[in-house]
Amino acid sequence: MEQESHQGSNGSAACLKVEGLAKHFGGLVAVNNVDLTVENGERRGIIGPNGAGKTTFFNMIAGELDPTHGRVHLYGEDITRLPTHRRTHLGMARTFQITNLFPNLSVLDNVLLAAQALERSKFSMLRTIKSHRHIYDKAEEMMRRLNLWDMQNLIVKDLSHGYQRQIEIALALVENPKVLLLDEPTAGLSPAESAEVVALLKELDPEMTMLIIEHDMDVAFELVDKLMVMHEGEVIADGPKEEVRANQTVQEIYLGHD
Amino acid sequence: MRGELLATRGRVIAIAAVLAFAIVSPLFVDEFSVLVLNQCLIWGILALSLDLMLGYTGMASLGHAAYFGTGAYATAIMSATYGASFGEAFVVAIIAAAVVTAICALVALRASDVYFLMITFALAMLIWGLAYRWDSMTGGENGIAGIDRPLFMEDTITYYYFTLIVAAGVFLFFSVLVHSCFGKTMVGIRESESRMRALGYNVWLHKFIIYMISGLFSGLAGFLWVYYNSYVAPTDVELVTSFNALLMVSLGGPGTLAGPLLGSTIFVILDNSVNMFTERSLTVVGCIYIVVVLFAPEGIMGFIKQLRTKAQEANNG
Repeated sequence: MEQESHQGSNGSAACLKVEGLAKHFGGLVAVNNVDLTVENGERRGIIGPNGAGKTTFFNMIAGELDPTHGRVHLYGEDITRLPTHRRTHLGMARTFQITNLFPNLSVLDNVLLAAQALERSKFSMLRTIKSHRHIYDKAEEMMRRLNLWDMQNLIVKDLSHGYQRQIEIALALVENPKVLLLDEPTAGLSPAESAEVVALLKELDPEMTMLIIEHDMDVAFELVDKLMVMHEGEVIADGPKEEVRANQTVQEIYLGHD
Repeated sequence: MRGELLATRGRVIAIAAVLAFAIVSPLFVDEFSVLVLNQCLIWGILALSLDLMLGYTGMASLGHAAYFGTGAYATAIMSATYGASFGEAFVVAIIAAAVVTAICALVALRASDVYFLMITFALAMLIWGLAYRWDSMTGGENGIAGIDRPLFMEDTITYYYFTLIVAAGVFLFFSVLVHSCFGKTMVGIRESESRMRALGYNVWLHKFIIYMISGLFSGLAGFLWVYYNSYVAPTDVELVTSFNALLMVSLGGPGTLAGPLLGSTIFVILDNSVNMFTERSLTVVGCIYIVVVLFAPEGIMGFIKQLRTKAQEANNG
């Protein structure tokens, strides 16, 4: 409900607009005055070497970190100080670089918890999640789409890293977000597993806006239209991916000398 | 599927057996044993309440004596000082426990993990300080005596059955609760708070609600305790009470409902029997705690579950 009314009133605003965002940890400037505009339906990548400030930047957009200064807007609304869970209600979802699931619960329970997160019934103390048919159906549909349905009763911590990464994405997708923040979705995966995740992400609704942190250049190039390159907390290039690849500074800092 | 059905059937049989024992056994034993069983039930309610936070949600509280004690003192003050009836004392005890729990929760929920434990402990010490020092209200060191049960449950065995009905009701409510939508969010918070936030849960609010439920039922245990003992003293509110509750849950198995009841039963029986031989029952209890933490970190229920999994694997392999 909330999501729809929101789109109606701010249909023309950029999906995500970041202005002068900065984060200081004591004397360390992790992110320094970063601007970013992501249009509706755009797929935007953020790349950069380790310690470039990508995840810090990402966590400020997701709401896990408070920026030192700067603003974050989602569909025209200032969400800079909005707590994480309120952002999710506005249509934002995220994955984690370091797998962050409910390890002692079954795969089904993991997805069910995600599927009821925006429902009022999450406060029900008498009924089970499974008895809410539409929540169960939502979870089942998502799990079938990712071929996870057959392992619904397995405990997540017993699964391979590859499967856990897929569940990571399933939890973010099950609420059908409008903006998906992906923090290194292929971290730690074998090339074959990584290709599977890329294929999965490419198949998603083209209307869905995506912001992707990637370490792997090939993965980034396959998934996104535009790239932003960060280095030591600053943006050193931002634009169409081919342009960024040709950029001299980027080649020196990130891609290395050929 | 078949295994699940068998497990459910096993659980139903176990509950029925325990209930049958609890109903029938008082008819065949002496009064002292009924008193001990009654203690098991009251501490069991306290342990169950604590387990909601400790085992299910992952919030280690070392201050449950505060909510237990608030319920107990409110009952005693109402009954002995103001001559309130059983029902009136109950209402006031629950309201008092709710108010104190809410205030403590607002403070304690600013922290997590070991800091949470320290704050709950500090808050409980404040309540203990009130009980100990607020002479005009609490009777200070002497406590409050002379709290009489209503005539119809004056005798030991009737009060035991009353407590049994209450405990069974609490157990029933908790077993529905932990399997509910909300119950699953408790486990989700235990497993990963940051993931819960990212999914759209207001983790703070969920924790607050759980804290309130836990505090209210601890207050209920305190209410039952005062009418059981007809006496309340600062020792009921001190650290040892909080610690004992923690021990019962750890001993029986945190994150299960049978665990806290099993833990409280073992604890109470042990405490009463050890007391016959030595004054150092706390030393014995401490040693047991160390053994449990070392050899069965998931408590007795966790240990049983492990054995069952191993047996299953042996069968399949």
